[in-house]
Amino acid sequence: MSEKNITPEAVKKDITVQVLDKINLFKNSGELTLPKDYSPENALKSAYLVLSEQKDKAGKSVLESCTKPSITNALFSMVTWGLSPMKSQVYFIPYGDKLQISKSYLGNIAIAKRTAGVKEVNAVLVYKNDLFNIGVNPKTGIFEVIEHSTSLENINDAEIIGGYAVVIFNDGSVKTEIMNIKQVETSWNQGYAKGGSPAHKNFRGEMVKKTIINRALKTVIGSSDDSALYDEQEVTYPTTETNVEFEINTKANAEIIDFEEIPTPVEEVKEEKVVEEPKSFEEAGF
Amino acid sequence: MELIVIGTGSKGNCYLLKSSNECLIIEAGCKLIEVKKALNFNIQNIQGMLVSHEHLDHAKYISEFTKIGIKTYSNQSVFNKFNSLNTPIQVIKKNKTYQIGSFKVMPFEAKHDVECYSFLIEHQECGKIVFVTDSYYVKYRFNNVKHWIIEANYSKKIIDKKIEENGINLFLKDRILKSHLSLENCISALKSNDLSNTENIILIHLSDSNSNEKEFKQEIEKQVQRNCIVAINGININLNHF
Repeated sequence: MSEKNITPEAVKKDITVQVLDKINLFKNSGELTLPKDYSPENALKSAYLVLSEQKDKAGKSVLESCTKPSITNALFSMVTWGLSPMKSQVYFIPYGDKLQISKSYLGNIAIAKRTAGVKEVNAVLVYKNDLFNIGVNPKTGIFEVIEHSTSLENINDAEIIGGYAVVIFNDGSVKTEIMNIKQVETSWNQGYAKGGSPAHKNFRGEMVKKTIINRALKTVIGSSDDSALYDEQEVTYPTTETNVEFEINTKANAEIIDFEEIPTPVEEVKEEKVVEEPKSFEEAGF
Repeated sequence: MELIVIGTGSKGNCYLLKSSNECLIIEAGCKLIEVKKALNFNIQNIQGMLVSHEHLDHAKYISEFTKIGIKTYSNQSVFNKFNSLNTPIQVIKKNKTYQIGSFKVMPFEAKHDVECYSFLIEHQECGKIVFVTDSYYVKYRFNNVKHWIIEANYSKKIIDKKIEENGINLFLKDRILKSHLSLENCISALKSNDLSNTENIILIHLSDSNSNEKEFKQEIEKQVQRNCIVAINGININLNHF
């Protein structure tokens, strides 16, 4: 990287100014319309606060380890979406030396409210032994929950059989998305953790709700007038796999080495050291 | 020159390079008695032993060898762990050339989860050999290599399939990815070198559960158009010039 010696502070100052300049330029020329209730200045400040705390796998500040163009682009995406990291609407994720940005389900709700006339989104879980009936309205071809009642005894994260999200629009109309647990798990399997992250294990119910909300809003946002605003993928963090791939791509099979003309004499050992007892194979950890 | 594989894989590694009148041992993960048997008890010509790293499948029996006077060459970490009066370790430095008998040896850095060496070895009977084990990628390229003795521990395809079937946990996967050479990375290492003088590609340290001998051999031969042999315990491979 060419800007290796620049401090994170310098990067931030530089980048904040640059992104704001770029945004103002686009705004003034009419190429960019930002939501009225959105302050890019505040969002950029809070993005800086989040980014300056965020470390990559090697423990380095992402402001140092990621390339400047990738940081600029991530910040620019954030502003055009009209989202803020302070409200957990977006996450920044370093992939090798590239900073990427991803929307959370809260970000999706914010966009849906802003662009698709959505008033609120409610997700409900369905447990085993719940009284639950769904039907199709033959006039519209839309699934509807006809009846759902549960009891306190039924509420149990281990016995979730599905759920539904109801999107209520400003005009009073509603849209229901129903998913059974298999569909939810299939969706989780697209992510690196395959539904096995601590969040998925400990807050299974909340994660199921998130997934159904994302699915419900996918078509709502997708069919609104700003379709480019939505990305379907759930937030996934860079994995050992992507980090190892990056390292291999940048460092493997690089320079050619060969024998030297004159061999080096082996230095005879002088110091002595007490040896530990050999450990078992398992302890040694291979 | 013959390559005698005493042991390969995570249960214990030991390889012998046996020329017409000398022998160089690589790795001390098998018992001395097995080396003795393989050499018909003619052990007076052993010039020394190279040890790649401290893990016990490569280093467990060092002291058995040093006790009978075999010089052991390795890195600082192995020295720190094993060196004693009865087990003297000769520390050799990476990217430096050493003469051990008629073998020219240059250790270079392997990428494992502990300090680990790979070796470039040359002998007039067989030309240049690259020996790589326990390294998730090969850092360098080489000129005019005749024989590659190189790890192909697992294939990404097999691991990914296992994850899908829940046969392997993510922690283990991450550990393997950051410590061993996959078939895929083995192939790209080979491909980044000029293989026009290469005679053999010998695959070592295959995982019991995440590899497939037949497919690995086929894949290597298809991708790099060179003869490929999968090392198994007890195999004896001729490395003489054709």
